[in-house]
Amino acid sequence: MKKPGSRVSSEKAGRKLKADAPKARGWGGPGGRLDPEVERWFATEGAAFPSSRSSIIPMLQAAQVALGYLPLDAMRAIARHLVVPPALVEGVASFYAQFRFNKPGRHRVTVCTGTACYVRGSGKLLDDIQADLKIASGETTADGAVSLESVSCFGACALAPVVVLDDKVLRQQTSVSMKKVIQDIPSGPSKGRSRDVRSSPAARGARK
Amino acid sequence: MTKLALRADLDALRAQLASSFDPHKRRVFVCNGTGCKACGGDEILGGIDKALKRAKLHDQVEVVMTGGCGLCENGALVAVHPPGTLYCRVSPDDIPDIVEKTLARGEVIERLLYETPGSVAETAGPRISAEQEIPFYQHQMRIVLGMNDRIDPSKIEDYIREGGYAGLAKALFEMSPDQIIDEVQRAGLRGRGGGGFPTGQKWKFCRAADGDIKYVICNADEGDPGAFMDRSLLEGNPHSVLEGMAIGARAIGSSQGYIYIRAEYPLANERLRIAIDQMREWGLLGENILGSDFSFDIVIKEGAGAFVCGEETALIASIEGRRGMPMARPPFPAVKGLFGKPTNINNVETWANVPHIITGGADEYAARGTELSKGTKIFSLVGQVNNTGLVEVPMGMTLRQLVYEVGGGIKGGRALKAVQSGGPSGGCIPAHMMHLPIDYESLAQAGSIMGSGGLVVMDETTCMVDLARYFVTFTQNESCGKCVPCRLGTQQMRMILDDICEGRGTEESIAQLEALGEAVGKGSLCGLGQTAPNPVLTTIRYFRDEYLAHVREKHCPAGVCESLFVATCSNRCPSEVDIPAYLSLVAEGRSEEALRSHMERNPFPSVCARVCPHPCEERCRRETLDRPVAIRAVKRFMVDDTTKVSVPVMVRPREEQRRTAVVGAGPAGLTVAYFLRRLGHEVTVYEAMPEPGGMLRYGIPSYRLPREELERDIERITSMGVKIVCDAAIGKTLSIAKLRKEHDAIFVGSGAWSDVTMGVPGEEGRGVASGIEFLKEVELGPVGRISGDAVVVGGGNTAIDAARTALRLGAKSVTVVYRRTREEMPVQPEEIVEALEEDVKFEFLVAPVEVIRNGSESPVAIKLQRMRLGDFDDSGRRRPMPIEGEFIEIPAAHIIRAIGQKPIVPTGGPPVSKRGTVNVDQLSLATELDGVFAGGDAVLGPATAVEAIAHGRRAAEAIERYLHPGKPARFPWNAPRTLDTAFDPTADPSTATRLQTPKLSPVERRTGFDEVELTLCADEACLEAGRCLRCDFGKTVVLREEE
Repeated sequence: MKKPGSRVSSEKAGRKLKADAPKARGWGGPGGRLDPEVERWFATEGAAFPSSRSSIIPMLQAAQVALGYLPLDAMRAIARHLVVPPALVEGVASFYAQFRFNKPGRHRVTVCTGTACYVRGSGKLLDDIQADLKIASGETTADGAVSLESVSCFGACALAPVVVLDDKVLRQQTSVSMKKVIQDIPSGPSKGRSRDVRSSPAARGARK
Repeated sequence: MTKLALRADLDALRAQLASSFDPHKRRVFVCNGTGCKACGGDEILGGIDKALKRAKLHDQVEVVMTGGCGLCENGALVAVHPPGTLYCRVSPDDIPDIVEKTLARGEVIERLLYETPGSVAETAGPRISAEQEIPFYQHQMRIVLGMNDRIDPSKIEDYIREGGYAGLAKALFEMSPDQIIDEVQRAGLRGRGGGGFPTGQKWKFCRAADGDIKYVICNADEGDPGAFMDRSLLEGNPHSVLEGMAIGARAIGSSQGYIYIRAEYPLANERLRIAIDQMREWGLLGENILGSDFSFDIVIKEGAGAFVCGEETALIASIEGRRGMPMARPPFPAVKGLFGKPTNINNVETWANVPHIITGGADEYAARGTELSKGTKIFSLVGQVNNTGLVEVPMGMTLRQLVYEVGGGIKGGRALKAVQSGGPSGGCIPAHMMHLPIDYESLAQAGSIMGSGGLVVMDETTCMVDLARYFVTFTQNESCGKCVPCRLGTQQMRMILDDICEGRGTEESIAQLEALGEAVGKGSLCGLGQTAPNPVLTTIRYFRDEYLAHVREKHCPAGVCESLFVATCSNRCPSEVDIPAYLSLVAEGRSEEALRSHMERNPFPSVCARVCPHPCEERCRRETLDRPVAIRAVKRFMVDDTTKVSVPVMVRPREEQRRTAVVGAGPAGLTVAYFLRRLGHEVTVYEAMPEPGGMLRYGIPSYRLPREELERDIERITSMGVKIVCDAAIGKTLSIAKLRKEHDAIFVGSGAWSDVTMGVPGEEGRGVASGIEFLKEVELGPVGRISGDAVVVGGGNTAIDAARTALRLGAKSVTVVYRRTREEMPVQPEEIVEALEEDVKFEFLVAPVEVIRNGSESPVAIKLQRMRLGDFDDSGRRRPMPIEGEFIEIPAAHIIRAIGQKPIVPTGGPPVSKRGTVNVDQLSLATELDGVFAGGDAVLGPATAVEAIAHGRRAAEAIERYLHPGKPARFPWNAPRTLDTAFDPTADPSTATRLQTPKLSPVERRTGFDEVELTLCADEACLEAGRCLRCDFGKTVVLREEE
């Protein structure tokens, strides 16, 4: 790791950040230490990223893929690596819809609420799935099995309305067909790591 | 493999690839775009490969994975070349057949061929085998997408074999950077991301900017919901985009490129990564490409889900690792962009156009398109259209051609309502503007934008207010928050739209939306905010009536805004009968209560149980499961099962009771009378004919509506104290002026009894009658039997009624002639089926030109002009066009014309429009005369009974308000519903299938006027009613009462 203060922001002339001692800047968690799982990720993957500000988003993405979500400590580790305040990392992370800050369920049901899906009834579909799972979009069932999300467009508009279960795209779903899909979700974890088709805040707020 | 060190190496490689490629070898192309993968595309790919090996055919047949061939909804797609057969909706189960029959023996598998969409189930079109003959492809011009269906996107060799990277080589060795820019400028290429800025000019600015380091960026942050052009290009032909970037970099003087791609597109991401690696391996990226002095590299940057990052300054901020917020321009990125260096940003599709311009030349490119919009444009055609998918058409094609010819028309034969282009920044273009050519300027003039190419087709089931809310919700959430007008303005607009959709809106809300929309557009920094109001402003501009229905009547015509109705079926019913209520009551054997519930809003249950075209069933949600509930059949059982129901008359103080009169005892007039009587008023109905019922009696034959059933409904109304005076035509002893003087309010429901003539020679004289006159005379009777052949001209209800009546009266043969085809006939499809069963003949695509009498008094034949279907009109139907010189003659002793009816309005009655319909206020049905209201066919022109009944109730409510101005009106039929039928929302829906009502046999029908349709038995009715999904569950109140 580079020494604090050695970071030169070539891209943002005039907005260089003066770094103080790590501890004073809050790079450590409670007691100055980070969660061991986060440290493991950092050692295997995180440390390899170039220490420039344009690494923030790629590092956040890598951490989320590895950890499933972004615990506060992951953002602290990234801030430490890039020698910037953790608030800056969190500020960037919170701007983008892709990042989640809570542990997701073992399976992910993502409802597309893009225009094409919407005009073919995905608004009502999402309402009905919420009722079936008894959670709102953006939440995880109490047993941690299923997270429900919505995405503002999955780009499979010809198959509308689309629902993505983990990484399997299900075409032309109805409330009735989804009832069955949900019933058949195994309680164990999904096979393989599914990619993030993370919801945008737009879709989340689309229907109350 | 060795790197391609020189241009000659590339040429040699291409020559070698081309010579070893046998175009006649049988290849099977398996689409593996995101769409087809979702339908099992990769399983099919692997499966075919394995099956070929097993069958020892793998030497003779090559399997090619492609990405994105366009007809996505019909996925998974498999094409076999030669001969060029396309299989649709292939599943892994079809693999053995494809391998054994098609690949081994060259047979075509009928069931997997493309099926031409038909609007009526029985008339689904023929299947088409050859890919090139499918209308979806026929009308396209696939230049940019051209290679998508024949190359493997993961093999750079395929791209090079098809001519790939020749453009780059030409740009490097035969052209100077200025020449490249000049070529692109002359080609007239404009930004495909939405703005339409001339690409060449953009490059010129960046080239002219000072700076040693310059960047090119490919904007692949395809955020518009409903658009997937960029995804398909990157999945199907990533090298074309990369080649375009390299050429652009050469022209601008850049050696570093970035691709900013959405994280939501994993497959495009992966294919892009493979393509870039291959370029590096082959030396098409790196130092001194192909031996030139040009060095270039490309880095992928994955977006993180922010729509605003499609805006170029926000995109730059995001690559730099900041929050993706736009910045004020100037300085433009061309001067000061990524990391402060001159930067050129183009969208995926724009880059993919570049190699075609360089290899084919600017002139060839500019030959396509319109004067200001050159080349082709890719659209993702989605929504309620038959062929959804990716299409590429020349600029200047009309929207109508795109929707009907390429898109194959609207799903389920419904009517087109609007097309939305440009995503959340665009607008809605209504059906009557489908003649617009697709180019940047035309769409902008209509208030929309070209956008990146998302075209969402909407039919009558889309609520335009809700759609505006959908888009504003999207932009509100995606607003980065930098500018106040955008951040707060979109929020306010959304709250107002929430109000309107949930029944709290007023006309003031619409004005507020317009004012706010203008302010947000003007006051925002970037494109997101500037265009955010477009969906709202265009929907208000073109669909103000729909907004007004929401705010004035608290009614959502499309049946989307849930707070405004109990269920979509009831909402679709013109008279808004509480359908789930009576269905569930019948299911519990409580027919009498069911009937009483029906009577709340519609006093003609027996009539509607027989003749209603049941629009409710079209909107039954059960259709998503199997087929709609047979609502009318259940109603029929309900009325047959119940003996007598009476409806109470409101007890009202004497001084509140008024004297009212109704002109015309048809369904509209009698309904007004019924509701006014319920409110305690005195009502007298004046009818010109000898019996009450209007068109129900004199226009609908008794085999469809037995007279005792009609009388049952009328009797219920008269038993409440409504007086009906028959044989009382206005003009003899009565006059409108007298009625107005003697009554506090009057209603005119005089119907549409006047007929439209054909205007052909020989029409005057014996043997030619109007359909409505014919039916009236049969009812008035006695009518003798008719002999000889009869011909009925027309395609509506009256035409079919007249034809079937003529048959029953003994005509030798009956032929219905219609100028369009069966699909376009306005009559209910089941009536065509019944008529065919009874042996009525149909002659389609003919128009009468002469009644041939050959000197005799009666006609001997009718001469008809043969027609064909021409272009689509704005109603989405093809126009009938005469075929020069082609005529037919059909023998005819009786000719009945039923090609239209016009309202009749009594002398001294309210003023009428040019069409002859009474001018009314749409909401209150008040005419221009004080205290005179009108409704039914007199206002609508020939319409259905249930629409007349709906008018009747609405007029009665308006009359009550007129009679007691300033007093809050309380209508008992609008009270909150109290429904106590049992329903378990957690139980699985009934698995019963839709029941058909039994019918009399065709032979029995032809001999008399017995009712054709019979009734279900009690068990069947319960079973059918139990199929209702109870969409109304938990709903009690619908906001209708005024404050």
